[in-house]
Amino acid sequence: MNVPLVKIKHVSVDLLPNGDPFTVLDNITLNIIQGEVMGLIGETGCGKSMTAWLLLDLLPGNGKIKSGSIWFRGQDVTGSKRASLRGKNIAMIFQDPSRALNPVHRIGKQFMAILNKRYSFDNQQTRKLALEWIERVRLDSPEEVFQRYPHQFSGGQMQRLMIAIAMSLKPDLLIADEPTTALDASLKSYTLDMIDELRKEFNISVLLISHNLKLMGNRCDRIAVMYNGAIVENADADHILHKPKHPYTKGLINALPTGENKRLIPIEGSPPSRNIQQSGCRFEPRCADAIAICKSITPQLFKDSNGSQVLCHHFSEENKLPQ
Amino acid sequence: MNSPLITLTNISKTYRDGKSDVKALDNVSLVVNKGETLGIIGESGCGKTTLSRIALGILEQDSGHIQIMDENGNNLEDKFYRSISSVFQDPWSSLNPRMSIFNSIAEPLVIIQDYNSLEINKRVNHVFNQVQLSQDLLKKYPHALSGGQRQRVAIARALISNPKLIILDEPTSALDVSVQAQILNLLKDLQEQNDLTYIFISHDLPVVMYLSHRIVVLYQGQIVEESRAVDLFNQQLHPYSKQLFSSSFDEKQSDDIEKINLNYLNQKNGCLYEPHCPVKLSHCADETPKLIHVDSGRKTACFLQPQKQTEA
Repeated sequence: MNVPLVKIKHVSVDLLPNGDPFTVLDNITLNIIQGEVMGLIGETGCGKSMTAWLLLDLLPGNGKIKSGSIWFRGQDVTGSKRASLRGKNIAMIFQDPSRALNPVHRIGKQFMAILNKRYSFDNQQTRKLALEWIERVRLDSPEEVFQRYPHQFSGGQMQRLMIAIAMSLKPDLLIADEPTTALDASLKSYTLDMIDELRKEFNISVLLISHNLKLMGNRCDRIAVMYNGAIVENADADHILHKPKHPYTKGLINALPTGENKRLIPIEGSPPSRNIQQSGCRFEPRCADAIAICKSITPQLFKDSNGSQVLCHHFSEENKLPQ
Repeated sequence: MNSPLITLTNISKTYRDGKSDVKALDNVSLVVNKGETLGIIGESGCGKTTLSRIALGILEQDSGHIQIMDENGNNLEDKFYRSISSVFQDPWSSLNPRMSIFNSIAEPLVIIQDYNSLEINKRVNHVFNQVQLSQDLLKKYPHALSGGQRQRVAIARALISNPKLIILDEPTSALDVSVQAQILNLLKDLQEQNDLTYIFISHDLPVVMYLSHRIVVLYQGQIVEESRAVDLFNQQLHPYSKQLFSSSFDEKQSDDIEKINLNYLNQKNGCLYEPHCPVKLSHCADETPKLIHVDSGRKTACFLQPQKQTEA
């Protein structure tokens, strides 16, 4: 069996903005295997980005791991060791590329500063490596890119630069947090293709974070669906897209327009704000299939034979939905 | 049937910043019929928002003119701005944080000055019901509302003056998927109840397809294709429309990743899409294709379509 590259085991995270703790991640379990694309899907505030920050040891607002452990290549990195993985074993691409670099420094200077932190090359080598990567993501005239400032690039160009910078660090895991939301339709697929091409070439793992199930679904090997701080379903991408189990996953798929002219089925209500409900299922208030037990008892993770996991009462033996 | 509500004729707009001129709209003509939704699609910088601002009167065009008609075909020039309202992209910045929800919605009526406070009250309550919000929210301030609720408030405010046309500029792009579906259904229902006409602007193709009857594809300030939504979905005539659709709907990945040229070509001879076009002909770089009628109600600007037909 493959040892997972990253293992998150039953991790709960509290934030303490004003000394008043609230839970943002609740009992998260997630494995990322070498070379695979793991998708993390959910709506605003569900904890997708928090999971990425957790891996990078960048939790905001006095964030604290309350319980659970994190493993990297079989090594326990729950403590502060994750900071040393950042920029070396784990690299990240952020949502808005136009704000990811310092606007008052030239691209070349910033790119080289990042490389100097990672490697101990001399100036000439560093410069050569940076130029190679700019060429690699197919940006025209790398020398000119070097001399420019961030505002002189379009969103698509900037996102390619971010990919170049992230990949030049030779990471084992690339985290891409909504890498395409700020981009136009045609650039969306180019950007995802670029990430995929590099993943294959360097056999790295990718954690792809998004709110768009359809767009991202086809690019992932496995998908974890998050709702209000918990992973409610975790299965092969095919299963999630075509045979979703959790009512929330089904709801997300039904809510997306497909181009056909049939009426959309929205999920009633809106995503909850930061408070995680203490008892019962967190999706119960919006769930069309909710039954009495959902309000009072928190569901346990239900696993089936082919490795899918669902957090829903309807998949325990006694509460099965009539098929 | 098919009586035109708003007609835009030969609208052009150029932004000048001293160094270079950007042609945001180049000779764009459009007709929006009563009761229909016209979708406008295209990528960032193609002129979608400029077009909506000109139609709203926020921005003045360099040339061309706009006409809005009532049921009997009379020109509504003097009531122009009362006949059009709009819903913007970001519900976090389109509502004044210091005005209560009631005041935000009532403001257009206060400005119009045709109503006394009793009538205003009645009307606000009426539109508030239409957007399916509970009355106790009226006393609240925007910060207490969720994104979906705010966008409903923005829609209520657009409805209050009883407009004929509502311009929807990316009304759901800031919302979550599950809430987006609620708002799209609401817009569809309101159109039927109030006999509204929409101009729907978005770069999210599936969303535009869901609401629109007809669609205009803009590329760098020019209309490259105009068609009924169903026809466009089934077959795109212009290579740019094809590319837009395949990147939005297609599940498979593209074979080769295009190299990005740093220097953005804004003005050139010939077809503007020629540098990216996979099926270009030898004369595409020098001659400009005209927007022509292909068949009933369908127009495109591409040399691959027979150019004999009448010019649109």
